Amino acid sequence: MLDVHFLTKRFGDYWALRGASFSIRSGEVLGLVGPNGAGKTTLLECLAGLLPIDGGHVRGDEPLVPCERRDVLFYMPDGILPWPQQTVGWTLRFSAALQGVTEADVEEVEMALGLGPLGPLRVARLSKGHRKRMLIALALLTPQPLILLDEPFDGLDLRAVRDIGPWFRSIAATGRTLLLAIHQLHDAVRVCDRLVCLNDGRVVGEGTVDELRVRAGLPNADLEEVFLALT
Amino acid sequence: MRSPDAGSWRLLFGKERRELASSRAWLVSLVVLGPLVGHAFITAVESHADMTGSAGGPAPLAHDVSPLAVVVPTFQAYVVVASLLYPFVAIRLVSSEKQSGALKLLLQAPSSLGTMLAIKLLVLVLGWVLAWLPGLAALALWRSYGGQLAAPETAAVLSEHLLRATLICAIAIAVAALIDNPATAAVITLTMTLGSLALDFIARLRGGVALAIDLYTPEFALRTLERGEVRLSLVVITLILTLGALLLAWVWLSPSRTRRQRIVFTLPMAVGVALLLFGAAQLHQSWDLTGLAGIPPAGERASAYSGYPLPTEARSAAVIFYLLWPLVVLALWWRSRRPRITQTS
Repeated sequence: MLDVHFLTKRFGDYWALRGASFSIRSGEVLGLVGPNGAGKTTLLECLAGLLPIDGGHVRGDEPLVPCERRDVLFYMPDGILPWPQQTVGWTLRFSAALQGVTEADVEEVEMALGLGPLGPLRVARLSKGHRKRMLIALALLTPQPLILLDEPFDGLDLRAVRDIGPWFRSIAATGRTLLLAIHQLHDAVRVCDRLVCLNDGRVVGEGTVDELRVRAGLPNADLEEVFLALT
Repeated sequence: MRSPDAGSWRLLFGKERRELASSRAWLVSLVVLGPLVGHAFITAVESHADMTGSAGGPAPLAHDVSPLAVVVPTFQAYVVVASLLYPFVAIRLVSSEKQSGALKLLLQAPSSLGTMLAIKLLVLVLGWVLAWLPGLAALALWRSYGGQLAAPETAAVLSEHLLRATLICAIAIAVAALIDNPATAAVITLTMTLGSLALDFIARLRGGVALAIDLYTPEFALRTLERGEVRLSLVVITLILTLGALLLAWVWLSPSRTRRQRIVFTLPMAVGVALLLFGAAQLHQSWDLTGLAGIPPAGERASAYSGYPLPTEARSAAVIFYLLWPLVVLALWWRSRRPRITQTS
């Protein structure tokens, strides 16, 4: 679906991305894992065209410039609080209408994420977990085939994670692709088809958990050991 | 690439309208305008009565009193609010979306950044026109008391107030786009608006270089129009500065540009705007509206002002500005705070 080739990004003298390369396949849930400061958020923002890249390129059938990438992918940042003075219901419907998504889709996503009763609440009044659910809803109420979600499970309780994980997989089964930046490894393993392991701005492993074990040379290890070995 | 449909305009307009309505800075501006305009109006009527002798005393200045003697001072309240308060309203509309992360979502929507900025400015200007209600009420009261209004001159003064507010909003949007911290953006914008007022004051006192620069300030344009003179150059200069500020905001809010690229875009743009301003300053066409107003010539004004409104009549209207207007604004604001879920426009 998309190939990321040698993306580099520098903030002054600090290299946030040092030639990150990986591929995204259509209809998969791809996990982007890595320690703090590995460059996960920077990578997503570069892919979305919200940060200028210093080198490398992103290509589908042919190289895509940032404004073309916005037709293909939508990025939902972590920790944002859009339009805090407006209600949840209005925010979802405004964003969906702007993206050309129907009211029926809004109601379906609201139901799936349990946001219906929160409709009249102002966004600023939401708890951390409810904010995260609203951000996931905003991300999915878009027409792009590829959705990038930064820390989609951060702030969610165990029940919510267990509900939303399979829902993500069912969305991927319909042909949409999800790229999830996750720092909780057990969440990543539970939800994702493949993982991209990022460390210090470089991709140090890409594939299924078994493929990562082979790459790390630890065929019987659990993912935490594999992750530590790779990073 | 996905292209925005006409509905995007409506949606973005509705969003900006809701954001403006929920802005406490706008609420404060609206509430404050009532007493400010009321005080300015009552003082203007008292001064007019003193100058024309309509209150029964001598009329030492009746021959020279301007037909805009009430309009201009009444609307001076708007100069104060446009310079000191309204920039905060404009900055909030940009900075809140930058800080909350909403801008990152909007930049991925099919609508262009230019469209979003234009709609922001449009909503701010319409909000400013709504804030004219106390001023227009004062003019209506003046007419109802029997006072005379020169329509072309009044329209010219109002147009300049509109242009001035549009320019200030555009500057505030540009500064908010350039600076991430809204407090710093506010300080810079206030420095520009207050600096412009100070420059105009110094230019009037001393002339020289200050006067040459003052030609490009909205204060100079406003003062010229307050004399009933419309100069094409001043209107064009204000419009160029407004468009230049919007263009600056567009350059600095566009994602996927490095700081260096933004500076590279900004420098030639600044030179281009400067050249356009210099060219606009060479336009000499102007219109004198005083002859169109149906106002008596200066020599005949003294008799024309007999029976004009008395200060006591104006003072009796104070309750409208000091009490009724703030209460109506607060009541409407409170009503608008009721959650509405399904409305997206």
